[in-house]
Parts: sequence; structure tokens; C-alpha cells
Amino acid sequence: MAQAATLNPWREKGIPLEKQYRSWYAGLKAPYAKYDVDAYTRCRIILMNGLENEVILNSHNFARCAGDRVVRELLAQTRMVEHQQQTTINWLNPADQSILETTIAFEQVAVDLTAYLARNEPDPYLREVLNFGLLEDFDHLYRYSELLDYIEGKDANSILQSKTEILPARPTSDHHNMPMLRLRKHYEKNRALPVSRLHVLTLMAAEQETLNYYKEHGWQYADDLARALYAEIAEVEEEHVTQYESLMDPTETMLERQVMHELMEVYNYFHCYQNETDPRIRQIWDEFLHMELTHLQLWGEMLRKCEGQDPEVLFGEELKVEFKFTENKEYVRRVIDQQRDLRLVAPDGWMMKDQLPADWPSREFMAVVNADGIPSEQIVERQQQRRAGDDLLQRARQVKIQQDAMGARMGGR
Amino acid sequence: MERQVLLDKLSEFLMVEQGGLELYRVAASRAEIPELRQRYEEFGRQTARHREVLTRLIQQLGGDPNYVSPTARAAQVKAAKLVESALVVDGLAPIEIQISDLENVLLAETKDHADWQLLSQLATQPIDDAVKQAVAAAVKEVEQEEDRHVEWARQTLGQLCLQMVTQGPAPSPERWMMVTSGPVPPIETLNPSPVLDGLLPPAKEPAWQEATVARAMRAGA
Repeated sequence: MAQAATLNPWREKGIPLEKQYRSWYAGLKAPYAKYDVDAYTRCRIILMNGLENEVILNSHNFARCAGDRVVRELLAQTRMVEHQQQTTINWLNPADQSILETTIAFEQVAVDLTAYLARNEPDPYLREVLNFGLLEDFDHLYRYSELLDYIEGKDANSILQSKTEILPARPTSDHHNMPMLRLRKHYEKNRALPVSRLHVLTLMAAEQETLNYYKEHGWQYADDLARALYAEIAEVEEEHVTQYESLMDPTETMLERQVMHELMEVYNYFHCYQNETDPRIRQIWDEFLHMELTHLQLWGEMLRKCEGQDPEVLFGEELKVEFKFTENKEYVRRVIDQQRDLRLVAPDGWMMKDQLPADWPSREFMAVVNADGIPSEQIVERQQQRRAGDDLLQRARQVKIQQDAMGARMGGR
Repeated sequence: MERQVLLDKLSEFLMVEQGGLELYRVAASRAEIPELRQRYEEFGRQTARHREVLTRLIQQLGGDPNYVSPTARAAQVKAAKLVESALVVDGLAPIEIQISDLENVLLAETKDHADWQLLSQLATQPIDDAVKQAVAAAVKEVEQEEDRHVEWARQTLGQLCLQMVTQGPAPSPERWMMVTSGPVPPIETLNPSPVLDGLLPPAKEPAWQEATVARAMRAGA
């Protein structure tokens, strides 16, 4: 069970802004060893890299429509720090970790982040949106695991360390929706809990980074099926970003969003710091947490000054941090059992596959995108042909049975 | 007299007319009450003429109508925000959208009216005769219509709101809950198989907190 830790983000002492810039070499740390690193340390690195990129892009967007030089100056200052932080974090990934291995880790982030956020989410509607996306990322993990085996002959568990299961869920071929169906109801900013808003922003940022990663790297494989699978799953990630960003209240101001972004960073660096097992990397989380506390307080003051709103009133005096990367196997299986056949319907709801009307808009969309073959199905078929009787899923299940047996011998977990 | 200050203000007033014209276009395009649409179209045409009057006045005073003063830029932002607010209507009943548009018109016309009042006062000041005459002529051409615009908006808004309170029809009290997430309506009405097991304690806490105003009052903010 999660052990919540609490901090007062508006009063906790941070690192002064003028002391946050680093030299080229001070900012670059040695990469982790890809087979030695804890899977969830790698997940934290991927997550925080994505969050930093989101904060940087949001800051640029804000700067492009901020008419006040004081605001633009603070944006420029804090953004440069975010840039350096992002570089430090992303450069922790080792050069010998292939694009596909990193992809497996991205999907592990997506699965265990979404699952744990959903398990903690008080808003029942938001929780179901998260559950819906969870099963899709879970299925992507299975398809990419097959691709990893096909292209590199590697078991995805070398990356996942058996902390996240490899099983089919809602088939990726069914993830392609008429785009407007992805639009969901948004939270109401006056009444939504700060934690709900942080969950949405965190997940949206993580999915945006996943989308960008697939778009930026999918072309780097010479194999046609690999290229096609990246193209197909990248498009689902595009749908996911549409889905999660639609959960945000559109009446939030740019300044309010800026404070939220900083608070999201504090929230996430804090759980990274609390749960990190590698002392060297823990030190990075600690340092960045204290940088972000300063950013948050500076932007909180700006909100007070420019919009007359107290950040403590908007987001609460205290920040309770519940999240951690951990196994969610039972929960994911439960969601698969209940919601594998769930599909999106307009407006804002869901329906079981066998109840869908004949004119369900996504049928038409799928007929177009799936017309010339479905890469996510083709990779499984090709694997079955290649390794008849020895498919990845079968092997993954075998590993699971062995682990369970070992766990039972050791007296359970 | 500070001619540049006057030219800066006239540039601002010109921008206010332009913003008003854009607001009338948006309001007219979705007005469902015929009287409202008719007025928006009529006042829009008059506002376009006021824009011409101001352009002529700027030229008469030796200014450049293409000059956009800093305060004109600020006025443009405010007008754009008003029009933008007309886009944030999810959760509003059709009659509330009509009322919201009319409220925007009242806000814009209040500023517009104040601009022309200022020019009217300027024409009574001991300033250069040529300026005084040009300003007075412009005011004479426009003032009555501006009075009518703001007064109509104020009265019509009041009437519509009163009518809604006293006679209805009342929009559904849950209408905004249909566009926002939360515990209402129950999730089972939207999802045939919500996941209720395997949740952690925070998921079982109330999904909504007190509204921002209540929290601000409690915090003394």
C-alpha cells in the first residue's frame, strides 16, 4: 500500500534560482547500466524526461502569448533550468539501450503510471478514462515485445524485469477511433481535487513524450513491419494525448497552468526522491526537487501578483504524494477482465463492443486505417510463423508460472 | 493640448469600435431570438460607421489611422478576451449563451460609450478650435447611437434575466455536470463496467472539494 508523504510546497526551502544553472559537464551524469538498473529507476528517468519536456513546451507556448516582460523573463529563466534538467535526465539513458528496448520501457511507464494513478484517482469519471487508456498501452507493450523478439531476439523481460506483464489486452487494431470520440468530459477546476488535476497533467505529459518518441524514432528501423508498427502505435498515442488533454478544464489561465506544471514537477520529483533505490540518481531527484520548489514558489507569487489568486487556495496548502512506481499486475488483469471489450462512444461515454450501433463512427475510421493490413496483428502472425509453439506470450506465461511457484516456495511476497 | 495623447486615445477608441464590430458579428451569428439578431445586425452596421467617423477624425487631426497606439493594443486584447469568452460555453443552456453574448455586448458598449463621452467632454475644453470643431462634429454624428446601444443592451439584458428567473424555463441544474467530470452523474450511467476493486484509499475519498470561492473565504483571501 502507498505510504503518502506530505510537504508544504509553498514554504519548503528550495535552491535559489540564480544558483540553478550548471556547466556542460556538471550537468551530464554517467548513464545507468541497462541490465543492472532497476526497471522502475529507468521508468522514473523516462517519466521525468517527459515531464520536463512538457514543462518546456508549455513555457514556450506561454511565452508566445505573454505580453508582460516580467512574466517572459521568469519564463526564460526557469525554462533554461528545465532545459538543463531535461538534458541531465535524458542523458542518463545509455547509448547501448536500443530504440526498441527504450520503447519497452516507455510502455512500462505508461502501464504502471496509468494503473497506479487510476487506483488512486478519486474522480470516478477520470479513473475510467485512465483505465481505458491503460488497456491500450498494455496491449502496445505486448506488440512491441513481439517486435523486440523479432528484431533483436531479446526477451522484453530483460527490460521489464517481470514487474509488468506481457499479455494481449484490448487489441491495438481496435484502438483507432474517429478522433472526436476521444474527447472526454473535463474536470471542473473550482471543485476538482488538486491531485486529480496533477494526475491528468502528469499522464498527459507522459503520453505526449511517448508520442514524440515514437514519431521521432519509428523511422529509424529498416524493417518495414517495425516502421509500420511504430506508425500505428504512434497514432494511438496521438489519440491518447487528445484524450488526456481533453480532461483539463479549458478555462484555466496560462498562469494557472504554469503553476500547475511546476506543482506537477514537485509532486513527481518528490516521489522519485522517496522511492529511488540508486543513491546516485536519488541525489539528482533531490536536487531537482529543490530547484522546482523555487520555481513553484516564484510562479505562485506571480499568480498572486498578476491574477490576485492565492496558489494555496487553488492547489491546497499541503501536497500529499501518493504515487510510486510499483507492480499493478492484479489490477491490470482485473481491468482486462472487465473492460477488454469496452469501446468509446460519443458523447463522453463507453459501451461494450457487442452493443455498439451499426453506425459507430470508429468503424468507418478503422476501415480506412486498417485497409492495407494491421501491423500490430502482422507482428504477432509473423512471430507465430517464425516460432511455432514457442511464441513470446507462451514463454512469458511460463516465466510467470515459475515466478509464482518460486514465490510460493519463499512463503509469498 | 497634448496632441499625441489624443491621437493615442483615438487609436484606442478606433480599436474599441473594431472589437465591438467583431463581437456583434459573433453574437448575431448565433442569436436565436430574432429581436436580438436584428439589433446586433443594426448596431453592427452603426458601429462600422462609427469606425469610419473615427478614422476621418484621426485624419482631420493630422494622425495616421494605421497607427496602433499601445493603449489600442491593450483595448484589442480586452475585446479579444470578450469574444474568446463567447467560445467557452460548454455546459450553458441555449438561453444562457444568448444572455452571455448580450452581457459581452453591454461590457463592450459601456467602454465604447465612455470613449464618446470623453470626446464630448473634450469638445467643451479650452483647446485648439479646429480640434474642438472636428471632435464636436464626430460626437454629434455618433453620440445618440452610442447612447442607444448601451441603454438597449442594459435594458434587454435585465429583461431577459428577469424573464428567465420569473417565468423560466429553468435549464437543467445538472447541465454543467454533463460536460465536467466528477461523481455526478454516477459513472455507471456512462460506463457499463466501471472498475471498483483494487483501488487504493485516496480513490475512495470524495471526488470534489469545496468551491474556490468558499476556500478563498475560509483562507481570508
